[in-house]
Amino acid sequence: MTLIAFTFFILAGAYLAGLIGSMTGLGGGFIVIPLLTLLLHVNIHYAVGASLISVIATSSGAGAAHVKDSLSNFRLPMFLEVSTTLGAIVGALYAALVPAHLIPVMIGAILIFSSVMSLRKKNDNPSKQVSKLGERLKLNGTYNNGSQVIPYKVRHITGGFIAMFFAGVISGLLGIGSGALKVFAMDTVMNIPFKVSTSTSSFMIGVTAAAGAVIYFQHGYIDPVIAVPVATGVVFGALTGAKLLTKINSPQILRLLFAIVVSLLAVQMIYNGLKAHH
Amino acid sequence: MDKFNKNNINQLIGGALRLGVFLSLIFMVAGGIGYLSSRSEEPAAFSAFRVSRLSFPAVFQGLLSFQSTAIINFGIMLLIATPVMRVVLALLSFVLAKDSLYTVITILVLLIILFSIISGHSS
Repeated sequence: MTLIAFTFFILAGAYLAGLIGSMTGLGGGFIVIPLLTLLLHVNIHYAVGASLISVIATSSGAGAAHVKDSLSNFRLPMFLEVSTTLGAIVGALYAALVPAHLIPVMIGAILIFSSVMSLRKKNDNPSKQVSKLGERLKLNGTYNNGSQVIPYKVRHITGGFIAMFFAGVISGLLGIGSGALKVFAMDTVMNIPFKVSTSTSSFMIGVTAAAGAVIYFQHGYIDPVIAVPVATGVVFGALTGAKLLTKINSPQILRLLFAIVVSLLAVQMIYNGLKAHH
Repeated sequence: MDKFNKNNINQLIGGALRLGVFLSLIFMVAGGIGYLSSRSEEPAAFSAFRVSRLSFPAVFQGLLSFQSTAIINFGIMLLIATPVMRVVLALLSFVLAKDSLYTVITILVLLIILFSIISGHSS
């Protein structure tokens, strides 16, 4: 394939990835890795680098479109970012040591987990438990549900902090946003209501990815020729997706459809990774 | 104070993110067109990973001599810096609100990112 054809192929694929990523809320990097590795036979290290770039592009693009943070909503992501950024550094530094065939297997597993998570019932039961550490760190807050202002209390701060470190490692290791892991940790460990955990996660994804990306960049994982069509395609795809989403009546069916597609891609990645090993 | 946080900081963050994404895409696309204009018919060979280290000073040097890959890489650096701007603006809002605990926590996050830049360079 010539470079020009390769570039336009990625541009179209990344546009689709951005579109699907923003409509499902799964993020842009989602099908960038299978697209590059399965269809275009790009080396997994370059694919992972390009994916991290697409994660940063979508997270900043989404943030630019609708920032509704208030000061109290900065505290939770900032506190947890101490842990995710440290994790991302560990993951990015050790990415080179993981056997290349295992990376697609791990990514496949995370993709399946994330698509299942995107279909799951949302937790909306604010905890009544009081955490002293949470109070000292001023992590309890409120969120708006329509015209209602609902207070929530955060629990298991230490456990959540450790889970976030793990999410950071996965992000740095596999070049993904690991937004589903972050939401899962906030939801099940810290009992944070869904509205808060998703907005907190989208704040954190970009910063976590940036911490890993500065290492990837210097280690030559982010190839400029691949990064340009990936970043451009994903940003414009995400913009289209955000517009389309307001016009669609049943996003739930769409989510299910995409979850199936993503899971199939993931199974293919796991299969290829395991086959390469034997 | 609260009014300032809710409106101004959000507008500032939204604006910074838009500007960051916009500028980085401009540099990336400009560099990409420059790169492809001479190599469009070359075969795409990315199936093997070739280790090639990259340093920030080298990108700036290449940028001054209008190297297309350096222009792209500068765009990538801008893109990576964009979410960090969000942390910097959050720091500003914590300082303005005299929230010393979170001023320290936010500085810690920025130091970790700085540490990441250094560890990527030296490892």
